[in-house]
Amino acid sequence: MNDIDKLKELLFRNEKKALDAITRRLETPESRTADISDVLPESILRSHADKRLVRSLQEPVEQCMKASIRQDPDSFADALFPVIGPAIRKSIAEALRSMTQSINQAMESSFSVRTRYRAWRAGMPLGQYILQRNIVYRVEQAFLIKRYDGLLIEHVEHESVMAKDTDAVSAMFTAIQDFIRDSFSEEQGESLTTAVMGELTLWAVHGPHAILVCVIRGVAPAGLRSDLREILEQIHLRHGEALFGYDGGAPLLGIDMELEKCLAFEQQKETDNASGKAGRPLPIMIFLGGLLLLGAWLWFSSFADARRLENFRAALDSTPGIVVNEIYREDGQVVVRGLRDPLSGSPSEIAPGSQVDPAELRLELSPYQSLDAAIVERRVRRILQPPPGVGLRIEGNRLRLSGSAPVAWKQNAQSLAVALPGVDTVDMTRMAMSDAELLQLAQTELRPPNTVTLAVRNGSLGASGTASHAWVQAATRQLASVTGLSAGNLNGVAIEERVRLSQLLATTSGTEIFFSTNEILQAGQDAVLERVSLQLRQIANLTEQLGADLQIRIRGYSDGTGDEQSNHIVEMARADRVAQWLVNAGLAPDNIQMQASGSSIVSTGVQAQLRKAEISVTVSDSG
Amino acid sequence: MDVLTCKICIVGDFAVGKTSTVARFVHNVFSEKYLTTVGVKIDTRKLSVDGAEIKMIIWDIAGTDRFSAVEFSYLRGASGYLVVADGSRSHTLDVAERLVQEARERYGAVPQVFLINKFDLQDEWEVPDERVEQLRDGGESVFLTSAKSGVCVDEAIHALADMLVAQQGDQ
Repeated sequence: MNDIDKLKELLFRNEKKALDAITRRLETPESRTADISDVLPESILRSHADKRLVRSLQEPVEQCMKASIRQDPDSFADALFPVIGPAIRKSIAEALRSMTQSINQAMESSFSVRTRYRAWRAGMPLGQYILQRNIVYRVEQAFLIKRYDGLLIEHVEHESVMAKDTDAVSAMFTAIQDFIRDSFSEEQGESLTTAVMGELTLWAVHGPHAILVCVIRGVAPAGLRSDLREILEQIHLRHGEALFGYDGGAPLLGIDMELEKCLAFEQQKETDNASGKAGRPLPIMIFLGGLLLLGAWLWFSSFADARRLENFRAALDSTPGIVVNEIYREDGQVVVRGLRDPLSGSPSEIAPGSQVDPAELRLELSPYQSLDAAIVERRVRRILQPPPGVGLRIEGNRLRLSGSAPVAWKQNAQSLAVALPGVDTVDMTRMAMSDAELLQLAQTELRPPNTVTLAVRNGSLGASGTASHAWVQAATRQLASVTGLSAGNLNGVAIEERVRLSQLLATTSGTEIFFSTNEILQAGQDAVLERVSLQLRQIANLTEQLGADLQIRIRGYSDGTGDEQSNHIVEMARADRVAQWLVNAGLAPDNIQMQASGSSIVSTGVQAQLRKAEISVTVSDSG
Repeated sequence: MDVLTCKICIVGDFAVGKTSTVARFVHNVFSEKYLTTVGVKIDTRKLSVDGAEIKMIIWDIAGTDRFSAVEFSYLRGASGYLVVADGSRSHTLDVAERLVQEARERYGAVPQVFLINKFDLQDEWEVPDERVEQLRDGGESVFLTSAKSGVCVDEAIHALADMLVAQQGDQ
């Protein structure tokens, strides 16, 4: 330590100690906390005046509260329970008061004169009077039950009631409530609030620590529940902690007094004797009687008028083309509002039928197009203007025409009708058609080839010319679909295949093939066989197309110089030779039949021309 | 004098004699139908212990070998348990111990006494003495009872009442 330090030590020893102490305090968190806690209340109090503290604390405090509520909402709900109930009730009471006033006003005009008179004499609003006359009940017992374990905290009863073991009843109520909640309720927090048995009703009001259960005889007004809730809230407010800690020991002081208030709720039915009939003077009776008669007459006339309007509405509703939205009487007039198709009947014409004066009517009907069948038919007639002899009917969305009419009208009707609302298709199948129309229709339906000429006379179709077998068959089938024809056939049409077949048969049948000896063909016969087999194949094709049966018979001949047996052999050999040729040329063996001419054939003439085989062809329609 | 009101639950397996046991010493308020309908029947019994009046609200819970949600709700807030087993069926003692264990886990420990019932059926008795001793050594109050003859039932109830009053005095 040098001299200067020593001098400092001598001069500032005390100050240094103080400085060290201050530094220690500042560096030690515990001592700083203690310092701040000493001055914090006072500084909050002082800084409160300029609102800065409020602003800076607002956000953290809000966050704290939100977190706390999220963590344990039940504690907040329990703390608010005694406060929030009265606040809500107060605001609801305000709303109800104004509603009650309007109900009173409505009731003023709806109840009988006698009731209004009695309410006036009782000096109370009509609504209140009627409620008091009709609601009769009495709270007979009240149980205050510990919510957690069902222990009975307090019980009071009406003097006329003999309660059973109330501790057991309290426990059993709790058990049954648990049973119902656990068996049927989806929400864990829900509680039993009402039980009804004959004339007795149990009302339970639930608080955070205790349940107030009242046994009520008769029908209690809904407002009683809020009275009971108020009592339970008072009990919670004054004894909340005690209720929570109640363990079945000493009774809680003062709670019985609170519960007794429940028994004060009762309403006796007012008897007629109490209202003093004697004081009702005769003139008032007469006046009231007169009023009654007047009322009855007014009621009857209004009833009769209502019936008339009802009937009128029914008549309008059943009139096609009229849709009634509402019908009512206003300023002595009958107002009808709704829709009306211009083609419908007029309400003014319908009114007298319902004893409604047409002069009273005020129609507020907007025009529209009705799709009712009757109206659609009127619209079609109006637009198409059918000539006499044409029948017209609406079937669903189809217009069906019948009778006879000029072609031009029919074409016009066809295109016009489908443009009208309510008509989708036009059915003219029942309309008579001229021969020319029928012919045109037949041409369209049958589509004949150029070689066929169709003709219609008196509704009957005829045809001439030639056509393929396929067309004749198809057209014959199609004939039935040409509506309007009275008769018709295609018999006049020659079938091309048959004509060709006849020609072929004429040239083929009877063809002879000549042999030199035995079954050896004469020179040049190959060419004949070639031609014949070609024709026979064409014949086979045609018979197949026509569905006919073909039979080719080949008969072998001999010159008769040999004995009968050798002749037969050589005849069969010649027939077989020709048959083999034909089979090889593609003809079906089943269609070919061979035979020998036999000894009956007399052999005359040039021998070379006797050695032959003859082909004959037969075509027969099958079946 | 103030009366101490306590909620007591009787627990045990099916047909161990719970209801017969209570029937001997309680004031019947409700029909036994409740046991099969809501699963609990409530009776009361008043007794005095060392000059203190105690009223037991006895919840006779229908026999079960495992508590359901509704039965757990019946146990809520009980001040004591009467745990009943059937001495002629030793497994009912296991069930009883398990039920008590479950209740304790849910709601904490409260005074309890074990009643091993049907002591009159000596020939069919299955619970060995060692098992009873074991329970007693573990600090449990165990009574070998007969609901039929009434042996030891009242003693068991009084024992529980003693515990409840003592506990009340401690608080």
